[in-house]
Amino acid sequence: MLRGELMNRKGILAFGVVFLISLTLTFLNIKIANSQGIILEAKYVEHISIDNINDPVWDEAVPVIVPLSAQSRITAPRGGGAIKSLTARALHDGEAIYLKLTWKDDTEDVSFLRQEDFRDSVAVQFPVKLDNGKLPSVCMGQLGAAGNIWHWKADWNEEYLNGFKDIDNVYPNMMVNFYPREEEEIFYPAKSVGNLYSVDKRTTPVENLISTEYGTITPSAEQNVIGKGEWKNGEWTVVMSRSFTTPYESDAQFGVGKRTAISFAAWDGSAGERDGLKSTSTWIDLEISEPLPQKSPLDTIVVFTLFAAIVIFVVFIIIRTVT
Amino acid sequence: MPEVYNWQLGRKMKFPFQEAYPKKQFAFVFNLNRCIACQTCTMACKSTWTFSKGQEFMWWNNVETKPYGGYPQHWDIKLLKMLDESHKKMGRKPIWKSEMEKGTARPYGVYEGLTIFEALPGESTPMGFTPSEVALGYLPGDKEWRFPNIFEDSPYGPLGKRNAFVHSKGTSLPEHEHWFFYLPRLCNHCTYPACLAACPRKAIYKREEDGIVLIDQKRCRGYKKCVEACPYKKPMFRSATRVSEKCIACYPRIEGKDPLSNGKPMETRCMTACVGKIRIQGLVDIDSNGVWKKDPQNPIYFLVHVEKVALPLYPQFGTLPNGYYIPPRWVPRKYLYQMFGPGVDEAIERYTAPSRDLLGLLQLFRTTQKIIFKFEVQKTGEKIYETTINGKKWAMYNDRVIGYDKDGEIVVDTKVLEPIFERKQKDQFGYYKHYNSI
Repeated sequence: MLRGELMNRKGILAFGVVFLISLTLTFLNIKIANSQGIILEAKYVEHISIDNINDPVWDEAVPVIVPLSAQSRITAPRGGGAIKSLTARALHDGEAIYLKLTWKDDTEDVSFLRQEDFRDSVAVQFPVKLDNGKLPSVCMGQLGAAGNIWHWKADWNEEYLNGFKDIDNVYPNMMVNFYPREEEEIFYPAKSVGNLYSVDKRTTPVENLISTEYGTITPSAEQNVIGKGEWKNGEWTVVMSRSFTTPYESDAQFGVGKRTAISFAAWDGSAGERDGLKSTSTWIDLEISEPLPQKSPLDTIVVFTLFAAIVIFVVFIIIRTVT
Repeated sequence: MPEVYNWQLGRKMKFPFQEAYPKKQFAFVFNLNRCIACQTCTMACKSTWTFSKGQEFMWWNNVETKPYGGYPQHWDIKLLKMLDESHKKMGRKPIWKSEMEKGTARPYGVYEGLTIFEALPGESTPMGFTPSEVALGYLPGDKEWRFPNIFEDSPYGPLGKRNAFVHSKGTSLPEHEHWFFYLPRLCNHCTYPACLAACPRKAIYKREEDGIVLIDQKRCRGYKKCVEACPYKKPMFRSATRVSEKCIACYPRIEGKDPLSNGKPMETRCMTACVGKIRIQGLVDIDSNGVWKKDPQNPIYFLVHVEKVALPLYPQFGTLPNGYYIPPRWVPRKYLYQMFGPGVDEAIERYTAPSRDLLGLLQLFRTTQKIIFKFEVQKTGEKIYETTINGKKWAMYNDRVIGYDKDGEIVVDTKVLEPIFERKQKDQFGYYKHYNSI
């Protein structure tokens, strides 16, 4: 067999495989966010709830793979980067936006109670206002162009689902005679001044925050973002949701047919990640689509048949080339 | 990174924020020669501030046995080792140049080594060195916070033999062969606090009126960065509220808000509870350039800047701590140099043969709960004792010592010689005293 002919066959084979992969990705509608102009599209669905994380309605959403990298602005503290990427999906029901984020993490860190413990968490950021038509700094907003951040925390999630946890959950055999004046909140100062971290009855695992530069992050007046998370087989799945509009200036506002931006951050507790030690993304466009007219089942059949025909044709060429 | 002047190091150093100083500074002096580790200070603090859930391990005030003890375990050895490794990596030596200056700007010479704000972890990039943290530090785990008084009374020295005295002739000053000493510690309310510098939230602040460093319980998000950065490991994370807490220098007392004080500034609980009378605490005036305003009648100023018997704890860390210690006389000097810097020899010499003013002032330790802003030794007392110390003649006089509060009112009026009262064999109630009664 001639060398050139062999190369030619290999080339056709490689082309065929790449073509098949890209065809499949296109068919399944998976996008990679670092290629220019990729949009996270929130499609309209009639009914969705955050209670069922694995609701099949999420199959309607177009997944976008978001690459993440260690937070590395010039001033310290910097670092992190344990989580390399996450997959984002978005949907809406005409009244609220829903986000579903999944990422790989071998360890489930749902406690923050020991000195050395840190939680797994994930956050999304939206621009509240644009700075002369430009997006605010992705590093947690800027003065005059704030970022609205929704921060889901694994330990908050655990408490939201299973109730308040304290150090005696970590050390069940610990012994204390009694705590004097235990019922007086003043001896739990963070709780008595209303710090959200000290709340003993959680109504949501997501904190709604405003930031106008790093170091300025502050809880918003209203904690109106709901969510839920689940760790299974080395992967976190988290859903978050909020109504399109709120009466608060510090909240990002959404609407059907509107376009805004979204950025992501994720923390791996086992790697000691918290605050600026994290994995972050750049801004990605987020589009909230108009509801489409009902598709007839015939459309799906036609598309599927066409796809199958192309696959069979390419496989046929590959087989002929190789044999 | 901005540069700030650190008078304890006699030079400018890197710090994440610009210079900004309080008008007055909370400061204290502990006489380590007298501490007996009774832990009354520890319990006074505990029963006032940290008796609730999540604070079980928290001892804002603690007393540890040096050299082995530590709370959290080996806090100082661990950081000294990290600092040492940074020096080796950067080809630097932690030496002090003896360029002392009169006044308060450079009392110990110039530290040429690296502080925790200069020996930073990070990576070298084409654009230069990029630090990943604002201070060199580590986060102790739960296990390190256990046993707050571990190695209590454990001495350093040669191994003993069964049924035999190690020292057939005993051991004597200036350095004991077997030695330990007690080190009482609390937050130093540093002038350049590493906790404050490391907080990504800017939830830690230093009060303008008294330099007390506090964690805003509403802003704190429990990142534990302060715990990691504080070289003295005095901020602590509380599980019950999921944020960090630290010594608050009993600020209501400093403000004169304790019902006992009639509106006058009062010393903290740990200070006033001191049974061994080793502690005195006060407020010193700070100049706009960060050094102490001249005030030789202020007890703290006098001990630190006039007599120079009280020295900062690990000044080389660079946070400019405001806790000062009269070093223990029997401890090997090399250990003391590492812990208190180059002022050790002079401090021990002056403490061993104290001046009339110093001896007078030492009598004021723990005579009142109110902060003494001014003291006076009236050198009119008769000579009561004479001896030779280190080859020099030394005499003790029964001088009168007076302490004044914030408003110049006398709060203590005493003498060097403590008055003696003898109980009669049979008292007024007709009871006989026991031979062992006190």
